[in-house]
Amino acid sequence: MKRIIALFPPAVGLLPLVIGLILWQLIQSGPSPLFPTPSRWWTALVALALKGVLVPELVVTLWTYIVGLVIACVLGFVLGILIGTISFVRRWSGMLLEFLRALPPAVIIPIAVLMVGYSPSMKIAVIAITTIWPVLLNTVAGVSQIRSLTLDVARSLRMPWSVILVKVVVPAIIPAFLLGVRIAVPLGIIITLVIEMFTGLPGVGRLMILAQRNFNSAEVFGLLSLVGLLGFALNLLFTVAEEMILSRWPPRIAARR
Amino acid sequence: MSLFELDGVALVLPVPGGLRNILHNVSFRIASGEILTICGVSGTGKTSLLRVLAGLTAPTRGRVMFRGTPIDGPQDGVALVFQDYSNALLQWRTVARNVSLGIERTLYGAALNERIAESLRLVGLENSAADYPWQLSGGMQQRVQIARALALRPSVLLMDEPFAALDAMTKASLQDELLRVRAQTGASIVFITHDIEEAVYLGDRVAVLSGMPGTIASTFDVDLPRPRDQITTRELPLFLQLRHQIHDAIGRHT
Amino acid sequence: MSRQSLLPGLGGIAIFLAIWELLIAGGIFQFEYLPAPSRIAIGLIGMLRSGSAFVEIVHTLAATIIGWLIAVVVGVTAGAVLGLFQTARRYSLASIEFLRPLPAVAFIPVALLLFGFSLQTELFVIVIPCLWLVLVNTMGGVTAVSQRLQDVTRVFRMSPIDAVSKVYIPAAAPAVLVGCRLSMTLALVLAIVAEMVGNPEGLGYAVVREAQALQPEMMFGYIFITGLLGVGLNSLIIGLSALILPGVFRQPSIEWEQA
Repeated sequence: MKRIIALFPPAVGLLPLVIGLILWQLIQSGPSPLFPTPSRWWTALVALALKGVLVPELVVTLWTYIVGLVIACVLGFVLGILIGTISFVRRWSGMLLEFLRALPPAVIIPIAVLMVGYSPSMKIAVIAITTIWPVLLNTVAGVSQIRSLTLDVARSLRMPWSVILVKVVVPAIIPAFLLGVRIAVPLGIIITLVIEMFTGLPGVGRLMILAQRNFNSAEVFGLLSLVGLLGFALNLLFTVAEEMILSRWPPRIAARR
Repeated sequence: MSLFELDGVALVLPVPGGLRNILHNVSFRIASGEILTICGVSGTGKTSLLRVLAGLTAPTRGRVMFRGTPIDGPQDGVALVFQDYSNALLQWRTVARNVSLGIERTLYGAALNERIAESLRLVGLENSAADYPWQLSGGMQQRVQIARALALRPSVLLMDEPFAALDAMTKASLQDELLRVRAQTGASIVFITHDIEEAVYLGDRVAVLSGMPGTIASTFDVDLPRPRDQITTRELPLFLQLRHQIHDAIGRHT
Repeated sequence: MSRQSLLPGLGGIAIFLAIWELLIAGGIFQFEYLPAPSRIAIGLIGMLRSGSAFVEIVHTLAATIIGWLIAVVVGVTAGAVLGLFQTARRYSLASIEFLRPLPAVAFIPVALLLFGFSLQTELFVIVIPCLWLVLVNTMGGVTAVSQRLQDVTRVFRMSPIDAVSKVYIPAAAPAVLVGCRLSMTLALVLAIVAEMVGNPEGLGYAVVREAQALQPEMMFGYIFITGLLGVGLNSLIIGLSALILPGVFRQPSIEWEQA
């Protein structure tokens, strides 16, 4: 627990944010079409919630995101180990993977829409396809960084390959894998929102675009704050989970932030 | 007048979980032109003591005088050589530009180049001037750091276990190089080490720092003849006797 | 990428394309909107010959680079200031860390609200997240300058200007350059997204337009160009970094994205 608390910067650093919001609230005296006061953001959000719209869309965003992310992590982990351990596959697929990784993820969306149409499964597939890259590539890198000495030790103990895989390789790459997941977590929420904004499929992204089209600026800013909190919460959850998982690893590996 | 004079120096530093007494009642003098080696096991505050001498850390109690005046920070004429050479050197600068770090504000053009060349000659690195530190071995990098310190033409060199991270043979050759440099430049040297033999081999005097908090437990005069030699000096009865005495001194107070 | 992975790398791509070609052209898989690579290539050549893609490429490139430049200039300055002054850091770090995980695309509706369908929207969407990235990396790089180097600046009694310019900046430079490189990648990603959802210009819009016109070969052609642009910009930055810091030893080739 102490380790987790130590991760937080001093709370006094929140001052600029708090002061900024207070100033905005005070300076903006009359109703402004473009820059509504923070209090109006809150009322807009509440109105949205009371209409029974906010919560279901938020839930859709969350569950499609989580499913897509989980698929990406599992596939990325397995494929990462496969590609990482079979060296000729790694060398032959290297450039292809680098090119695919350099592709801006959003361009996958029109392809998916064309080929599969508008559906939650398309959304989940796109989320998975775009978030798999950091997990996959970092896992592959993690495999290649397992010190050959460790593998020599395992082989000298005459362990069969299946056992080496489970007892040596998998635990050794967990930090690298988690580094990939750490990148995938915010990437996934971005893609989820983009899909919703672009396709109009249910979710917070759709709500944001609708609010913008209705020129409901209070709602736009309110939803922006909500998304900000969501991003923060997801990041926090992941950091806590990572700390707990990595508590058994030497701090040197865990402290690569 | 002594070069350095420490009087009742105590040092308390904040550590995770509170305060720790690092040094307690440290008093000694360093004469001009002498080599004082400070010997002690890990954790006795040797590095802290050196940082106090260097003016990097202010003592909690007591006085540190350099040339008769109390110090309040790093002094002109005092050069410091760290143990971790690769962190202490500027890896993005060539060897020559590393050596010039301390003098490029005051010297220019031909005078600057001459001083750089002279410092590199002192440590035997004339041919590496255009290399980058990361291209050199550990021993060579440490010599670059020494050259950088010597370029200041300091009256005293403070050295924090400079050879601890090097292998035995490099260490031996650098010890002799240091003695040669001292003979040529006449600088005083304060040399921290945990290696008793190194302390005796190099020093005119050996101070034993021991206990927690650390204090100067005893000092030994090293009357071994100069120039010293890796083989013959280390076989002299006086060498072995001093080694024994210092070993006991350290053991007694730990 | 090392020499020895170049040939197998190209071989891998060739095999991938060959399998794709066989599956589609050979009629084994029939996706209405997944054309064979050969058709895409023909479309690409046509596009390049007629120069129709040129305008879009220039737009996306310009938006990306301008947005990136603004983000770098402001981000490096702010990050350096925060890195050097502990009090400033103390009173702002929590806010920065709190806003950092804010999904970049959430700014699109705000930008649309303020600027409508325009280049400003695109730049707004690009600059803010990239700025954050550069700032955080710069600040991290400066604060991570080793204690030992700080000792060195004090022992040599260097003036503050000398200490910052001769030691802190070069020592932090590798981290700063990583931040700049990552933010270039991010800038392109955001430009594309902004063009898809916000500003109807450039490659992002082209991809959407071709998709809606049910022209998959053109769409894939544009996607390929976008990918090339991504690889090209990344290589450009790596090349520039090598020029700026010739004396710095090569970092390990693994790229850790921190977007």
